[in-house]
Amino acid sequence: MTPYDMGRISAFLIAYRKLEDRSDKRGMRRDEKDLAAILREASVDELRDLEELMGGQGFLFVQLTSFDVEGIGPGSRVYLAARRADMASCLVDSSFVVERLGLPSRPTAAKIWFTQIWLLHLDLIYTQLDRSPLERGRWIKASFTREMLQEAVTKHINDYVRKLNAAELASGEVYEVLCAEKGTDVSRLVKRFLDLMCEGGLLEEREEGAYRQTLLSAVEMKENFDRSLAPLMLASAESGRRPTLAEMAAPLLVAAQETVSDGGES
Amino acid sequence: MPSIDLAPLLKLSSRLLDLHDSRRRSGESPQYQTEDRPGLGDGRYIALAEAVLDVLQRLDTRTGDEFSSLQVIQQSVREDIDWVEDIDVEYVLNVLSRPSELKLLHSPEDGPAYVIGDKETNLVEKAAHVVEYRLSRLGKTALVIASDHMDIAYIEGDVTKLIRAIQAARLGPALGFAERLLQQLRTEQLKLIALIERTASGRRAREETLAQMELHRETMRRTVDLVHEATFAIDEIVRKEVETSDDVPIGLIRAKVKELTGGIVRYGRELTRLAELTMVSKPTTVQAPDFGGLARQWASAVPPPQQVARMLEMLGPGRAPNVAPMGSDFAGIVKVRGSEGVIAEGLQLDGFDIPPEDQFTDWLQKNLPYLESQLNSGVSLRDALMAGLGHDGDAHTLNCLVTALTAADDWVKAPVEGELARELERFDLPGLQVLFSGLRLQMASDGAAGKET
Repeated sequence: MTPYDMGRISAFLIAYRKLEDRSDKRGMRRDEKDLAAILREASVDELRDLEELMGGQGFLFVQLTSFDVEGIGPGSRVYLAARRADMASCLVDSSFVVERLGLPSRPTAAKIWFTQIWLLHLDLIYTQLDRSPLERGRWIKASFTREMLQEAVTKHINDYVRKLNAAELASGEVYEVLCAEKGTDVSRLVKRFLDLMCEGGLLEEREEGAYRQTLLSAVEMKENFDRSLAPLMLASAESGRRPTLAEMAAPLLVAAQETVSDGGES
Repeated sequence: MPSIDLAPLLKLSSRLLDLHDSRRRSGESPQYQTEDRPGLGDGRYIALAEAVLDVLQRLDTRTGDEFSSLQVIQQSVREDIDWVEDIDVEYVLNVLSRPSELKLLHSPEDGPAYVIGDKETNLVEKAAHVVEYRLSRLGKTALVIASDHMDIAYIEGDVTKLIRAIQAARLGPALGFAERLLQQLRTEQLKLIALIERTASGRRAREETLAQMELHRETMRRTVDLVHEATFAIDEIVRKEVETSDDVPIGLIRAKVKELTGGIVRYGRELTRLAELTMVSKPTTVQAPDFGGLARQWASAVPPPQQVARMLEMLGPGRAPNVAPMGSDFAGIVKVRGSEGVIAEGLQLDGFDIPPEDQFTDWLQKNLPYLESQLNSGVSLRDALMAGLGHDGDAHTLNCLVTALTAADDWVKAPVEGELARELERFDLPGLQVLFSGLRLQMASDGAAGKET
């Protein structure tokens, strides 16, 4: 692998976050086959160099085989550029969320809608499957339909949010945005949410209206949950009470230890 | 209790029997009607079948496949199962020995497909004219299948089969064994990883699983050695240019065996990881975070926006920015790690002699306490030899002793006197006979005398 090859692979992974090495060419991107062949022939030292290059750009270079996770054929390999929890990458742009949700003039409302739908989609692929974020291997069964997500959002708004007492809320922003929903808003926003999740490589549409978590999403969830969402969950657990530093630090410390010993074959 | 487990056979054949018995016409609805599987629902007859087949297997082995009487079978089954009724055993034997015709579509390579009827379905064979039974050919096959343990604990046996196939240059079967092993190992590895992921998230593995872990680790260690043996067998075939009748290239077998080695090593490593995790994990029933609950909490109390934004930066959707680096941007920037040259010195330790001065220093360090303790009363060469200072196995030691007595400057801190007698003395050392003048070193009596040897 020459430095130029390494650059090509790095650029490909930044653009698509996933590179597959498999004999079946179906659905493969231009150059993917060639780059996969370069990676297959690369020495351990060269792969370590690439890992360091990706690390410097805020990515964890993850290599997976059929022995690591379901969904990879025998003899095939999957290379992923997962975001690092300890270092934000400037090469991942998430600003398109507001625009793609179709609420360009109301960025706060867009973020609220996105966050709420995003949490409910996690509920479908983790909570309802009794699955821990560390259970990367169960990604292959983490699927749901658009109707299921739509129903979950509608139920959440009607059965919970609308019944809140607005006067007692510390911040009524979320309440106001969600309660302003009229009829078809949920359907439209859920569709846009799913589209942008697919565009971001976190969900894939298997059939019309049927979605499944991607391997990249499962890997990032496993690597980053403990250092990103878990402290926020802990903070919210005590009905809005701000967590102490010790409470915030504990999961972060656990995550740091696990990062050293875990992470697939990265 | 019977050692036969028919459950796997029953499970894998039930859906096939459903399809065989299906009355659906081609083109009709693909929906499968909910079946109502008749029966008492207490599992009694399958348990009896296991016992009957187990008894017949034992009787057949003992009698050389002779038919056994109903009474003997009933009695043997009664020894295994105390609740059994004799008439139930007879019923089970009647069912097991009844041939049932299956209709199967046979598709020859040349010519159209046609339906054949196969009535060889009885697991037990009944003798003509007498009420006696034995296992049928199919029954024996069924028991072999039922007892074919696909457990990873028996992987050593499977690798041994692979070695034998390679040694016999039967590469077709060898490839089959290797691929089956890889498939089995992959399945087990994924099961193990799933278990690790569950354990890492706070759920403790089942006790029996943990108990088997150490056993499996030992098995894997031994299996790695066996796979190396398989590699040597491949090398042997290549070296001797053995003719093989199969079309399978030896390189393919080598690649599969290499993959197998990697798989086994990784499996062993994952077992160790599970053991480590098990030691630190606490049993809990909570593992899946309540994301729906979090959505509800955030509907009334939102965390600071910058924290949510930071979290979504790591877990939310993202795409490459418009100005992302291209391959050519890295040209000249990325430098390949230079391999550090290893300085290899061709030291020949066999021919290396320790320099005499180093030998003397070592010797002196070792024997200084004796020399110093004897200095007041005087140290003589003979006494020192008697005390063992001159025979550590070679002539160098004697040289060191003589040097110490003749060059006292190196170790004596006070004035000493030396005395050299004219008379020759003789002393036998192991493997060495020495003849020397009397040599004596003593602390100077008045302290005024200088060091002298």
